[in-house]
Amino acid sequence: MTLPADPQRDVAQELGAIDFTALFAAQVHDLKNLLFLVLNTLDETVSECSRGADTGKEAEGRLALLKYNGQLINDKLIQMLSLYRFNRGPYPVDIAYRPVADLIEEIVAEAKPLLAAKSITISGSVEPGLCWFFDRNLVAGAVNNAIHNALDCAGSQIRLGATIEDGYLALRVEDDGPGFPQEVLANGGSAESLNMSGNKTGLGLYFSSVCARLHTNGEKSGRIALGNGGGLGGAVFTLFLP
Amino acid sequence: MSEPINFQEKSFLVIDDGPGMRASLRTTISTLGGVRIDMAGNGIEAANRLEQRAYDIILCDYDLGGGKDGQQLLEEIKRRKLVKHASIFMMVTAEQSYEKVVSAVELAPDDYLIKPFTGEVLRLRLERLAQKKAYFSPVYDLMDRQDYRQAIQVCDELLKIPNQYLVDLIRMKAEIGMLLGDYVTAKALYEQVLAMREIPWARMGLAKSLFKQNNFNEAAEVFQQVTEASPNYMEAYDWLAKSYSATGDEKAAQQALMVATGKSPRMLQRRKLLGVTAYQNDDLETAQDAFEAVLEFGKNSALTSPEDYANLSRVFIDKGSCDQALSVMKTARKAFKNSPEVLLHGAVMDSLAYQKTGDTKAAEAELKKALEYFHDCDKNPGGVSLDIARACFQLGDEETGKGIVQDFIKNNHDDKKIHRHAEDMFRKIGLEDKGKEIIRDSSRVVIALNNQAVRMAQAGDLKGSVDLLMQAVSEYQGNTVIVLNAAHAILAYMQKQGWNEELSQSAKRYLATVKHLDPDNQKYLILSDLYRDVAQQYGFKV
Repeated sequence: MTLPADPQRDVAQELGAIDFTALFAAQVHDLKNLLFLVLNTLDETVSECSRGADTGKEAEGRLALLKYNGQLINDKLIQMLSLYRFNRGPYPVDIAYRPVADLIEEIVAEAKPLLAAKSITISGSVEPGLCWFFDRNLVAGAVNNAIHNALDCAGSQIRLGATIEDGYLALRVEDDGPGFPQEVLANGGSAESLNMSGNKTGLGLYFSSVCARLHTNGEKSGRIALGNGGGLGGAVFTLFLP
Repeated sequence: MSEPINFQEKSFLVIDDGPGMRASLRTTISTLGGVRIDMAGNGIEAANRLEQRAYDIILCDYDLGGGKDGQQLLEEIKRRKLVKHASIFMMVTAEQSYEKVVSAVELAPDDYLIKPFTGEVLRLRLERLAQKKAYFSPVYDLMDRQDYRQAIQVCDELLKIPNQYLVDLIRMKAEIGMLLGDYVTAKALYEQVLAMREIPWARMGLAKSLFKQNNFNEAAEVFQQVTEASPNYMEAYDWLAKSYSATGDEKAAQQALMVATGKSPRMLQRRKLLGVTAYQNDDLETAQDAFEAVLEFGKNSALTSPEDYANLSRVFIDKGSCDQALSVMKTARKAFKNSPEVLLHGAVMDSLAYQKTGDTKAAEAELKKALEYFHDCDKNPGGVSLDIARACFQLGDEETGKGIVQDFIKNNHDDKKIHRHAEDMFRKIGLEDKGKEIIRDSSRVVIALNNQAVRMAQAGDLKGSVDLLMQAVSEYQGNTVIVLNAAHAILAYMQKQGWNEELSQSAKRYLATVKHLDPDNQKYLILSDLYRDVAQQYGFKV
């Protein structure tokens, strides 16, 4: 009786080779910029309030933006913490048999308050009764990251879908934006693509890829795929889970 | 998809040590429509609340400040049956405690949420849990009534239609199988899950079913796999140690326990077991560390007993540090306010300590006191018997010592672990062979009596078998095997010969005795079932 090969060990090896100090420094820079936006919006809101102006509609928009950026900071911090923890290992992957619809419902519910900041709609579709083995937090983390990317780029629509393809659960996030740039399509999500000097670290996609790979079933393990086109003509992020 | 709940009708208990977090959770619950919301700031307060009333939904933070954490609280209230099967227990955790919450696989909360979370997600989770509880409620009801066979049938019915709870249903069937002692079926069910997916609890269940079939070597191998794949699955280390112990490899058992204690230092039960195992392995340093930690971590809590102090005192005596041994028991008497139990342990250990220093007079005086306390206590005295016996043997009163060991073994005639402790005590005082003989003879007496009863029953003399075993019960009240066999004999007799009110009362009393001593005893569960069947056979409702 033997257990399947240890996927966490492979991931851990790869993580071990990453210069986390440099990566996190770059990421902190990114976070600081986001925080600057948040503080700016707060300042505006405070001064509007003290002027006692009737700001119903505008305040609502600003609060939505605050919520959006706050959530973004939270999610990015969680990605950093998670990668740090995966690296320290062993990370308890909580694989359970769950309805995929529940997961999508939850992700859409979490995303809804963010949509108010942009005029974008989100919709999800799952085959009724579809269940799969997965770790809810890892999958939600990866999909939320894709939604954040989509919110940044989409024109007006984001679509979430779940299907079974070749014995994998395929969770897809599509948008109607300009699509992934060429270098991301080629390399996004790999350890090599991590960029410690520019303002786009690539940490989110790398985090998603690690979340995918922590899912294994026998010989098979999870992965992410990036493409352009799809039903909405924009970016297509797919998380494949064995 | 979830169905809406009317939160207004539900009672909530929020357990969190931070007033800010409590207030924020109250607001969240209010936005969902909840109005009946109680608060508790720590584990003790929470347990008090739960004693007074049942809650539909419990939201508990994992970190509860200094005292118990959320998992320990959950274990306590489940053990004390302060939560109904139908109640929802949701663990709330910060990022940094997430791993601990997820790793607590055995007595897991119904679900967990990582802070921060939105009211919307809380609502969705609660709705789904309510739906799941409703789905399983027929099974839970039967389990509450200990009607396990029927519960399995309901699971089978539910499994006929493919559904999202497929794996939960198989797990539940496997767990009931384990409860009923049907390990072969349980093993097959765990293997069925593992064929679908490698899941730690299923691998763990497989190993337990191997252990229960006395397949200790293979069990150890699988428990070892679990600890390697999920190093934070603490229960796997305990079972790994148990498996090694069962194969007689106490050194390996100690090693497994040491790894586990290193990972989770505050688990007192495990520390205690480590101390006992190390003591058996003559590793006095590790034993001392372990027992000292038990007292240190258990300070100011109801989690320590006089026996823990006696354990440490025994190590000091063996090391020749008799002053320390005496001072430990002095502290114990103070901590337990001179309760009969602590006076008994104290007198025994002091006697052993004085004997070691050569002060025979003081040793004899303490032993005399100890024997008086020992005869006065009505409870099954457990481990203290071996200390008293040791004192008797060392002070030359072989007769009394032997009698005490005999009683102890006769009340535990098939408990291999207790036999090993007794052998160990004799080994430490250089009476290994004599000890083995006493232990063997004492357990043989009970085995012979039991066999005789079985033979009588087989020959058709059911009444004779009942009489013999009831006589045996009056002699060995603490022997759960005999008590259960007596109940079994009565039920078999009544099945054939008709209902007998007086005997049925005895059987009921026997079952209640075992339930009190060992509520998860398998044979007890099976006999409770049988009792119900027999009563029904004669038209009595139970």
